Amino acid sequence: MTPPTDLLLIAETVGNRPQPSIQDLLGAAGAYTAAGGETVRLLLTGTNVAAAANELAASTGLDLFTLENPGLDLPNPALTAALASQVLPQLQPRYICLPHTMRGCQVAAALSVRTSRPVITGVEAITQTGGRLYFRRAVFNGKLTAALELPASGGVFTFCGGAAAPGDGPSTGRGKVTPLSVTDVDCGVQPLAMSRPPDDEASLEEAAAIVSAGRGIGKEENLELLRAVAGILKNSTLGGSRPACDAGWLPYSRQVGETGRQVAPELYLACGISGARQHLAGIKNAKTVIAVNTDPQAAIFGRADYGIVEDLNRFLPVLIEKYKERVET
Amino acid sequence: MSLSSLKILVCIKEVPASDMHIRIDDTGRWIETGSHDDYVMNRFDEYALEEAVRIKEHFAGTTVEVLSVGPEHCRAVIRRALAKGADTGIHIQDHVPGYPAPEAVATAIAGFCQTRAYDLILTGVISEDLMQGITGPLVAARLKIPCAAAVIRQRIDPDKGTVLAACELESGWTEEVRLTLPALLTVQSGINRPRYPSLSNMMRSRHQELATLPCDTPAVVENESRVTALSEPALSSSANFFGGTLEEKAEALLDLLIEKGVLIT
Repeated sequence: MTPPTDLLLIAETVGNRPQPSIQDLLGAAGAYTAAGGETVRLLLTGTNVAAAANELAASTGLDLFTLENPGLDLPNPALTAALASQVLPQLQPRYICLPHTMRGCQVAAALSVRTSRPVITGVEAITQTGGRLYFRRAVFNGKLTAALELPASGGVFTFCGGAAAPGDGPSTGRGKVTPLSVTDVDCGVQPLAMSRPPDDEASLEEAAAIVSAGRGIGKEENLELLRAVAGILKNSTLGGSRPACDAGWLPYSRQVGETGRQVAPELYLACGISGARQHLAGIKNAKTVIAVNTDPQAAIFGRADYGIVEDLNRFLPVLIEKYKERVET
Repeated sequence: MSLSSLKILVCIKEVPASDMHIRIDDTGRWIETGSHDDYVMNRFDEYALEEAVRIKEHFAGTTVEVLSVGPEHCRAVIRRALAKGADTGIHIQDHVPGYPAPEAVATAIAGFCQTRAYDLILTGVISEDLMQGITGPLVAARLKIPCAAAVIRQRIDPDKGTVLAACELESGWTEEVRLTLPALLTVQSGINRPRYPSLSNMMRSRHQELATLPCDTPAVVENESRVTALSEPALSSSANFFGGTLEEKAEALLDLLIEKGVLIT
C-alpha cells in the first residue's frame, strides 16, 4: 500500500523529456520543505518516461511515480488531469503542485474540480506562521501581494517562485520509481502539433541595450521617441510588452515576456510598462533595468534598479536634448 | 434552424483600470472599491467578446450572450458588451464583498450553463486583477466539456461539431488542438483587434433589459481558497528613484548610462 504524500508534484514531459518548468516544481518542493512540509513525491507523465524518471530519481532524491499514455506525447492538460485523478486515491496527496504554465494551470483547475479542492495559481512563495501554510501571489498587475490559505484538507496550486537552491530537498540518495497503471479516456481534446516560429529577431537576444515600449507610450507615433533613445545607445534595439504588440505597434517577434522572448541585455529601459509578472519573466536576467512610468505604484518599480516617475513623452525628448548638448560641448 | 448557427456565451469581468490607484481596505484582505468610473472590462475579455461577435458574423443565426458575475456596477461592462455587438446580457448578482474566489464564480457560471446548451463558451485567458487564469478551465471542468487555453487563433466548424484552436504556450511555442463541441476557449490578447461600439448598438445597449439572476452558490464555499492578507510588495527590491526636476533626472540618467558604458559618446 502506498503511504500518503504530503505534496505531490506533477511534471509533464514532451517527447519524454521533462520541461524546463520542472525547475519551478523543485523550487516548490524546496519552499514547502523549508516551511515545514513533509513527504514530497513527484508524478511524471508522458508516453515512455522510465529513463527520465530514473534520472530524476537519482538527481533529486525524490520518490517518483510514472504515468504513461500514448496521448501524452504532446501537452494535453485534460488527459493529464483525467489520468492523474485515477491514481490520486492511491497516492492520497494533501497538496498537489504543478508548474505555473498555461498547461499547469489547466491541469490544476481540472484537478480542483475532480477532487473538490480549492486551487491557487501563480504562487511565488510558501511560508509558515503558527503552524499554518500561506501561499503568496501577485494581484492587480503586481501592485499588491496576496497571502492565501488552503484548508487543512489540502488543495491544488501552481508554482512560479523559481528553482530550488542547491542543497534543498532530500539528500538521501536515489529515490524509488513506481510505475502506475491507468485506463485510457477520451477527453474531447486532440493535440495535433507544437511549433515555434524561427528566431528572425535575433537582435533582441543579442542586443546590449533594449528600449522597450509598453501600453503607456500611448500611440504608435511615440515609438519614434524610443527609436531616438535607442539611437544613442550602443548595440541597441527596440522591444515591447504584450499590450504594445497587441495594439499593433510592434510585431510579436519583439515581444519581451513569458510568452515572448526572454532577454538578458546590459540595459533594459522600460518605457510605459506596468511590470506585470508575465513581462518581468522576460527580463529576469537583464543586468540593469530602468523604468520610466507616470504611475509610482506600477509593479515595474519593484523590479527596476532605477525609477523615473515622469511622462515618457515629456521626459524622453529632454533626455535626447541633454544628450545633444553634451555631445556638442 | 440552420445547421451552422451557434449559441455562444462570453463570460466577462469588470476590473479596476490599470492606472487606478489601488488601496487596501480596512479588512486588510481586499481593496477599496473606489469609483465605478475607474472600472473597465477585463482586457482579455474584450478579445473574447470580439471573437464571439466575429463568429456570429460568419455563421448566420448565431447568437452571442454575455454574462458577468459581480456586484451591481458590473452591469456597466455588460452594457458595454452589448454596445460591441452581443445580443443578450446576463448579470449573476454577487454582493459578497472581498476576494471573488474563482472556484465560487466558476460554480455560479457552470450552474447557469447547465441547462442552456451553449455550443461555445469564451472567456479571457486571465483577469487583470486576480491574474489566476483558471475561471474558464474551472467552468469547463464543471460542465465536463473540453477546454483550450490562451487561444490565439480558432476555426470553428459547426457542421463537423469541432473547433481547431492554436494555443499559445511559453517562450513563443504554439500548440494546435482539435476539440469537440460544446467546448470552452480561453482567449489570449492579439487574437483579433476589438472593435469600437457601433452607434446603433450603443443606443440598444442603453435601454436593453439585462437578465438578472441571484447567485445560487453559498457566500462562503467550504472548499475555497481564502485571502488572509493583502500587502504592498516587499520593498527590499524596489527601485532607486531619481529625484529633482525632469531636467535633473535626464542629466542623472545620462550619467548613469555613461557609467554603465552603454551610451554612444
